[in-house]
Amino acid sequence: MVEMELESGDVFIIEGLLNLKVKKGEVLVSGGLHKKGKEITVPPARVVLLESSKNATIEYEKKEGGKIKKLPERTIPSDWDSVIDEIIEAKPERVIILGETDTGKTFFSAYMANRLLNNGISSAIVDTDIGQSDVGPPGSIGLGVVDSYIGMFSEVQTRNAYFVGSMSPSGHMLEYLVGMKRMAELGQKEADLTMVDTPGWVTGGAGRALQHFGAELLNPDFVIGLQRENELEHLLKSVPGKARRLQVSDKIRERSREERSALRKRTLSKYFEGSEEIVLNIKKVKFGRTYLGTGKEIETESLDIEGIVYAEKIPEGIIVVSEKGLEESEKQKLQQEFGKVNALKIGDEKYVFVSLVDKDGNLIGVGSINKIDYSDGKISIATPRVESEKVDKIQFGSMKIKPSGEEVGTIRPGTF
Amino acid sequence: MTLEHSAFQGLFEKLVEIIEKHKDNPQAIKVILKELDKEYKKIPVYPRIIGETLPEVVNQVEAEDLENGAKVIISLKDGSKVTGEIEKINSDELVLSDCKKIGPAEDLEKSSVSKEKISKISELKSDLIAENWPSLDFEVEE
Repeated sequence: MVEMELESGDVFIIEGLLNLKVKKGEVLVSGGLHKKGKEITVPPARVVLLESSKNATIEYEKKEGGKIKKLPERTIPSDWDSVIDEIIEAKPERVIILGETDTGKTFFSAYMANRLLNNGISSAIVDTDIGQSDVGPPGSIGLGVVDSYIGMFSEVQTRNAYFVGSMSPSGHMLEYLVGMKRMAELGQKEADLTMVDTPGWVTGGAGRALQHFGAELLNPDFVIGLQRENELEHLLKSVPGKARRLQVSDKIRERSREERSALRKRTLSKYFEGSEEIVLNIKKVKFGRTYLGTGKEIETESLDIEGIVYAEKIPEGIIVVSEKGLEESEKQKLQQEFGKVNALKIGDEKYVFVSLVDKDGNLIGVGSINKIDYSDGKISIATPRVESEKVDKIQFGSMKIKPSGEEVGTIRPGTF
Repeated sequence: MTLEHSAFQGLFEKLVEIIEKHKDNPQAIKVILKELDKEYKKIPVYPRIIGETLPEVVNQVEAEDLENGAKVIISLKDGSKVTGEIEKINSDELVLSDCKKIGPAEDLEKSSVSKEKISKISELKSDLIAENWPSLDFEVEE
């Protein structure tokens, strides 16, 4: 650990991975007051701002990629504080934070949450960054409540989460919108103000649709756009809520595609640390977001095709699981009798990214399917910290993820 | 999400299926793509209907079932193909107008092409996901 004395007015930018402890006095981290004894871990590729209003002493330890750099002056743009002052005055219920990728939306949200707390206002944060979630499991929209000062959102305890099932909202608009709305509604019950930190997808038809309908669904009081130039004007002009435009801090660094991918992997592998296999009865547990388990089981012998281990009649046709896959002629035979054929092979389910939901519909964890044993009627899933008896439903995602955190494939919608 | 949220997926899969079925018949693919373009301009919001109608564009028929005015692609035994409109149907022949004939494709082990004869060269690439999005270059069953 390196010890460092800070003078009043000193400003540092810190990039993770770095461990920090306030040894004497008090400091502001992302605008939140941290007193003697407080320990903070800045995760990899995350950035926080450390400020001292009085003399203080900190000690820190840099780990992989960790950096600490003194800045000549405060770098938070002055318009940030003006808008936050307006929000403190107006006491809105719902605020949306808009911005392209790497514009500091998450940092701004944490800074605003701390500033609100200075004024006795608690805030709920809806973290929609499903690929690199700070709040909630990866692949989900998380809800956290900031009721004590934070350095960054990864310190906030997850109150609830909604599974999207992918690392991007692309192709998952419905899950995204439902999840965002549900988490915001819960947030409003638990805090004075709810802020939604939105994805960086702001242009193109789908990006506009995502942001536009998200805003219409939420009906925010304020929409805060963090922009470098005018890249959000098309949205700020049309979405509901009072639009406020903020500059992006010049200290915000754009991440490369490789950095983003590495960060996603780290988020996943960290989540899956200490995973254990849970085994559930497929006749008792419910299946969601899939055709599988939603129909009526058929005796496999009645199909008169060798190697079929499970079959299920659904309104669209039939789901058939076989040992080695179906021959074209076998598929045609089933098509003639049942209509659409969902032909699966034993093992196709390996590494499917799923969520585990309790009987009240709350997400209790995410996992990676190891195996479905149709003869025993069992499904085994690798997941950390989930008690099997609490699982009421398994929701299928769109990716294949190893418990090591490695993404190994995507799933064609309609496969399962 | 393993439920299909959009019928565009079905249309795309139908197109892959149609192209595979007619891969040795470029004229058929050209006609199908033209029809796709026409239908898409009319009903861009109903991809499911487009996907249902496209497989009907090219249908195998018997000579006896044809009528004057029908547009056809005729595959000959030597591997060549003739496209056109039926003008007359005789007992032993079909008379076409507005025709185009394309010779049979040949497999060659080697070929040398004089640069003087070349009007355009297109380089073919694959594995673009690996090149552009390496983190999404997943292994898949062919």
